[in-house]
Amino acid sequence: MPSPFPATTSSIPGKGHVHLTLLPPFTPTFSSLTYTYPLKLLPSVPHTISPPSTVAQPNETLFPSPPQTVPLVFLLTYGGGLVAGDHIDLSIRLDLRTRLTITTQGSTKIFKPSTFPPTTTRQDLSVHVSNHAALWIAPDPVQPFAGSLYAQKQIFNVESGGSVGFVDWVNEGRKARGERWAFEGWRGRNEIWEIYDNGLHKKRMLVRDAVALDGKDIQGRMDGMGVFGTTLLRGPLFRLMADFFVEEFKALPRIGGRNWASASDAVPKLTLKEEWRKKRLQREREDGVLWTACHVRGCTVIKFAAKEVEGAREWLGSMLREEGSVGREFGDGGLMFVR
Amino acid sequence: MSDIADEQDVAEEAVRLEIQLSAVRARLDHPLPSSASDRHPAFPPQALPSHSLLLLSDSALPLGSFAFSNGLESYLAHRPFSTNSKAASEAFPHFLTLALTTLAATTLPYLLAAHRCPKQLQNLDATLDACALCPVARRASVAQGKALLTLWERALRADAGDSPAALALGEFSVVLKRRPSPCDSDNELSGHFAPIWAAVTCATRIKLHESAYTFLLNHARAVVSAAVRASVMGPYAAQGMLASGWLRREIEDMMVRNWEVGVEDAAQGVPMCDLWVGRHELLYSRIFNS
Repeated sequence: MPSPFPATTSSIPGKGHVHLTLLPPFTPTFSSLTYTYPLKLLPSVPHTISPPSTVAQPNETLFPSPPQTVPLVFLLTYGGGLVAGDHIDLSIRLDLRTRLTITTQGSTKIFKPSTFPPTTTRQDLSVHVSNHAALWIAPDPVQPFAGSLYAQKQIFNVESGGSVGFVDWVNEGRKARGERWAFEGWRGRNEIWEIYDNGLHKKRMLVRDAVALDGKDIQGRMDGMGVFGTTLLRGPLFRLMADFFVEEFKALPRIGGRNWASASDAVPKLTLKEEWRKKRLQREREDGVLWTACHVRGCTVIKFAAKEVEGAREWLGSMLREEGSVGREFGDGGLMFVR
Repeated sequence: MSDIADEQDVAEEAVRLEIQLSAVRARLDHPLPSSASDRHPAFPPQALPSHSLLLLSDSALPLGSFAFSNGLESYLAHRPFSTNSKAASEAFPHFLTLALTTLAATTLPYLLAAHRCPKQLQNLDATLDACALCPVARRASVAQGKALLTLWERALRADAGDSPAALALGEFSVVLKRRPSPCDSDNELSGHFAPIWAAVTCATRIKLHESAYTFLLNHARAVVSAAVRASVMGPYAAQGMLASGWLRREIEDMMVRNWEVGVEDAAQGVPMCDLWVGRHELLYSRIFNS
């Protein structure tokens, strides 16, 4: 069976390059911010972050004083979507002790190719995160329309003290028009590489997360879900958040367990966190959210699916706000995508 | 990674030439040197199935595969029909397809690459480990891979000769048992099932397509036998499903779809399977380890 992904495309490259550096004393500055059609990079007002008083700091070398502000860049495409054959090729470089948030202003629509054979729409991202730098990529989901063909590749090269976290999610298409996973193909690949000897640039692959939805009966494979996503976390700045997700996963109620408590039992006084958890679990049930979280090979992998995008957004937002790292370390811009 | 591809090309070329050579020899009426039984009418050339293949397709092979339902138990627990066995048995073929698709899409490229080029066994195991992100599935893969490696060392190696695959397995075993040193992080081996299976089948002269087909059929059998123990279906219905043309076509279809896929492009085809398998840890009661 021939692959639905043709080897060559008449692609129009939309190249972008972001290079963030720190000017003394703690002022992040874009030493480069370039882009070509159909990609558009729009820097927004940098978000001020509060001084790190809330977190206990085990030692200064792990958490040196953060920059005063975290710039926010909107990743935009003309018309809010990509047509067949569009190729976005973005590279991001964060210098020592800088932080950056990347987000979008709505889902990235992938249009159906009008040519035959169909051409693949591509997005490639290549990232270098230096020591003590941190990147948070929190876009809206990709929305592949019926018949579309899409492939994305995100490669993160992270120095040993650097941090990276991102959300990568895809929905079923235009539900209002009856599209349910009706695209021709969707491929996503995320890799986190550790640069462990900076002088020699030796690196090894920590994790590769790859999904390929193509071939027959994609809808049947998604089991009634309307959105699916992955969040990968790596590095000291995401340590607390990673542990939070894993602990909450372990605290999920057992499946198939019985509740032996009777109505007459005294209701124990719940702590604020237990109260929050109870409400969140209630929402998870209503929205059909299924998720997992685990530490693996020095990274943390969170996978989630929900009946609809809004359910997943609600869940993710609730988790991120309760935990607090994103808001504290990146400012409000890092939470715009779950608003 | 490109050297893996290059070596694969060369290995494929070698296999192709070997087939041509044996065909030409057959035409010259020079039978290949082999055991004396070759000329006896009870053993016409190529008529007997491979002895090793029969051994490795045995469901009683001591790999502990019976302990893994490969997501079935969790899948059933996530549905409303968890108490309705009729609905469960109707949904079962769908799940079997998903389980096979997952296995084929994520690990078959590694099996094929390791069989085509056993020298790459350690690289392939290390790469596959970076791609196996679900802890429950990782445990299942490593438990069976290590069990097969032990089986190889204790039972199969003696008569297997010194093929490149046998040597690769020997080296792999040495490195795997070596205490990991912290500065030597490149050499972390895990012992995942698919590449070890490929090397063992290659070393026991099982052909590539037979190795891949048996790997998928064994997986199907493990899932079906888990279904029997989970009361989804009876033993005759289970054998009927294993014997069906439908299952054969499913397996063949998955081999076709993944035959040319390189390890770089191996990817999860059923993202929901990662959720079901990962959430197996949340089940209140469990009969299986995955």
